[in-house]
Amino acid sequence: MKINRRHFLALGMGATAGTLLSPLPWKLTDDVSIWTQNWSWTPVPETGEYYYVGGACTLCPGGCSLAVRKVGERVVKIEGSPEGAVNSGDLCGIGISATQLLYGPSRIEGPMVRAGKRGEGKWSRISWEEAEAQLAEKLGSLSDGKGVAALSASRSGSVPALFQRLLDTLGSDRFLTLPSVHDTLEQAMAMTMGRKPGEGVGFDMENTDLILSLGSAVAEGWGAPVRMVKTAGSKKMIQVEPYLSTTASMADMWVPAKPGTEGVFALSVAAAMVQEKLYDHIFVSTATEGFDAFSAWLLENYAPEKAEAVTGVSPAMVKKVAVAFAGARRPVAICGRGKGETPVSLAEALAVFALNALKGSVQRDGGLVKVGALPYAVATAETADLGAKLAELTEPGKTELLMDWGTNPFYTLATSDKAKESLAAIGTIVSFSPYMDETAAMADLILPDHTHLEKLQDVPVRAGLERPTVNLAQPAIDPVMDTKHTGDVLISVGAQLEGGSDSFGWDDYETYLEESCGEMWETLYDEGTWQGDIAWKKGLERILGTSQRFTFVIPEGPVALAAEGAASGLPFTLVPRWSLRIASGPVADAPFTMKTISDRMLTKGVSHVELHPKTARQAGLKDGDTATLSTPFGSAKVVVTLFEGVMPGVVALAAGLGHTAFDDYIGGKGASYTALSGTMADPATGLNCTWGAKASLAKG
Amino acid sequence: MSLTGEKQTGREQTGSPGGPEKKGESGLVALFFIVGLAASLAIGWIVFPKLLYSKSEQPFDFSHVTHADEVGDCDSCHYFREDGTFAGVPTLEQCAECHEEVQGETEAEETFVNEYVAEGKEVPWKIYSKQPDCVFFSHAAHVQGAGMECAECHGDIGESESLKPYEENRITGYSRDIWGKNIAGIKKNSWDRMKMDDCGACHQETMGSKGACFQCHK
Repeated sequence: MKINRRHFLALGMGATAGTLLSPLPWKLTDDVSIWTQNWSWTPVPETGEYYYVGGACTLCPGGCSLAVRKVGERVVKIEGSPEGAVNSGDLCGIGISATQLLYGPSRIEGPMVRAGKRGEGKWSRISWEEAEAQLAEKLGSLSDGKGVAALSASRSGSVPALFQRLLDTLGSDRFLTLPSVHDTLEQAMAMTMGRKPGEGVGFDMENTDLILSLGSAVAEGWGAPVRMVKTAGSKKMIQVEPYLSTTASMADMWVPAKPGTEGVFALSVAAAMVQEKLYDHIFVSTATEGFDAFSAWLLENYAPEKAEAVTGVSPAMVKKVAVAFAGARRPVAICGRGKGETPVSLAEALAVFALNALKGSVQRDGGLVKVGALPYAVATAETADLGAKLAELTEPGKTELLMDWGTNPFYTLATSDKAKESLAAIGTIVSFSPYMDETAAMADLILPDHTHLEKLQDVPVRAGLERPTVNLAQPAIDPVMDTKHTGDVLISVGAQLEGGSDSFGWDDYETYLEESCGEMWETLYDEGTWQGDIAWKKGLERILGTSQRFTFVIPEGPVALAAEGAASGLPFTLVPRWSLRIASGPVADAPFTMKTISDRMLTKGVSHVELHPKTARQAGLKDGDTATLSTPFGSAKVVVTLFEGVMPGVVALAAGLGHTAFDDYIGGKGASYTALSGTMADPATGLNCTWGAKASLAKG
Repeated sequence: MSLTGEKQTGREQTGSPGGPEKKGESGLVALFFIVGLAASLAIGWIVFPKLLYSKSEQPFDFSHVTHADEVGDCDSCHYFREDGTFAGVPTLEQCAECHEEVQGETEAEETFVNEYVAEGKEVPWKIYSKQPDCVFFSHAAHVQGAGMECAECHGDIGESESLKPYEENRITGYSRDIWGKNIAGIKKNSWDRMKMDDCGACHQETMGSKGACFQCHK
């Protein structure tokens, strides 16, 4: 008897049949599939009892109150606090996803000093003591105090006051903030209604019944996004902008005016109200000055028929808007294109003030209102000539040392390749960012602050709210990284400077915070929020003549600023488009939020531009083509998407993308609108009011 | 047919054995087949389950009966929090409410008090019913919403005097109780198995639909 191949085949067949008749293969398949779905490194929320701690968001100027959900020592979810004055229980997608920023790979692990070439990404970890000593030494060895500038995420509040104190000690007056529409609005208010230091401009959205929005992205994040989105969903709206945005689609009327001409359109509506005698005669005659001269100037220069040449909006449409605005009970006109992160020209702000005043919508319910100054005991002084001082940052040799606290100038102020080069030529760059943002990546010294979820800090809200508001960021969690509160760092560094020991005599930041918040501290600490009273009169008091007086001012500067490079002969106009899902400020979206961005704005790491089919034909492009978008300030690779909601000749690019730093999940995705937008300095204020740029598109 | 014929012809030419030997060979082939079949069946049904699961004891023994007699129903310890979430296995703090000091005479309690309560250390219970992390399950929806009894899924654990050994699947890291004791996946009681199909079957029966993926896999 020989055992041959046939026997082994039989054995194998038997084994196969037996295996198939046993649970082994089926059970193994099931187990392996479970194993592949539960990798040890897959993040899984902690299980256990959850609880909430309060806080405030600092990812945009909205300053929403937070309810941070925790399990054990881990933050698992961020929600809007139901008691929040700004957001009453709701929160935007960017605020919600801050947990990913907190634990994400873009966090800076601790204080670091540059080890390689600038921007090379080589760092040496140092101790906090060493980091503070290095900063004190650098500041102390400056040849001239004026060579130091500080960029602060906020204009008022305890930490900005410390930066200012530090600059005062050094003899510098270059305390800077990122400009916004509020900088212009406040100047317009000073000219028309008078303004005390610290006073702001608000819009009483809750009580208005019609919003005339001059390019403001009401539904995409203007001001405090949650508040404005709620407004957009509940009020009548007229939207003026060249792009059929979410706000425009939610509006009752969409007026596509040519890009950058929203201010001229506002004046033409005002002119139509005067022409047709639609304005509030009682308010104008009893509470205002300068109407005669202003109305004559208006009719001469901005009659709807005349304005049409600039705005492209027909006189009939202008009159329709004028009738709707004048016919509403409590309408309000607001301005600040997009999210209000860019100023408008002073003349445009004055036009919006005048339009509101013509309807009596100033200092009353539902109108444009004054917002009282915040009662800080240690106040920050307002920076005179902010525009000129910001421009100095990109002038060669003007800045020896730049400190950045949450403004990320290498993204937000790098409006051209040239501007970026100038910023990179600054002698020493010190970043306080908790994230490896574009500025931290170019820094010489990084002293990372806590994130807003890890620190106690006042968060003053400057976002067009109707009353002064301060929220309190609270530590929901012990610092995840080796970070230190910038307030503590400044107190320590300040005390090390010559003559600084008196100015920085506090034991720690918390002691200082309590002191600087003065009377509002108790409420702020107990309730997490402080709100002042409204600054306008109501009802009978208003009628009896105690209301605000208003002066119509004929603006001196240009209303509509021309796109720089107009002479370049580039055929198209690039404008930004806004999204509630894209953070367009200093801090980028968290990885999760990046995933929610529409395929019409970003696919496979490449930005899309939206064009009218006519524009595409003119450029020889079709839907889905890859193209190079060029402006006089830079160029970028984009994908073409056709959309009939874009005005012909206009190219719309989502703003807030194209970060080059942070981490692999955030950076390197899309093109930065800011880097292509250039500058449009308003001669009246010196602030960069850029709303777009001339552009060309070439296939490939 | 012709092919077989040719082969047979070939064998005859080389003088291969005739009829009886052929029979013996095919019997041997069948034997090999049976051996292979039997061995793999034995491996699949007996050896494999033994290899697949590791057995371990709980940190110390626990009697559900004793505790139920003392404190009442399941929900005295396995309760719903005020916000509706299910507390699951009691925490050290809960147990320590009664067991600050040793009360009885059992070795298990002594271990608990000395090694855990005194040290302030949570007991690392091995949970028989823990579903994989990719599954979301709400006790509130089933117990409070649908009014189901604990035993429908957890069986008679509430009547147990001691804790059975914990069998962990070496591949998935989860308890054997999810797949069920029966390696073939056959069950007699509703609580014998807690796989996705078992959830689906009950949902189909009571609600008319198995439900959508994302209801459990969020």
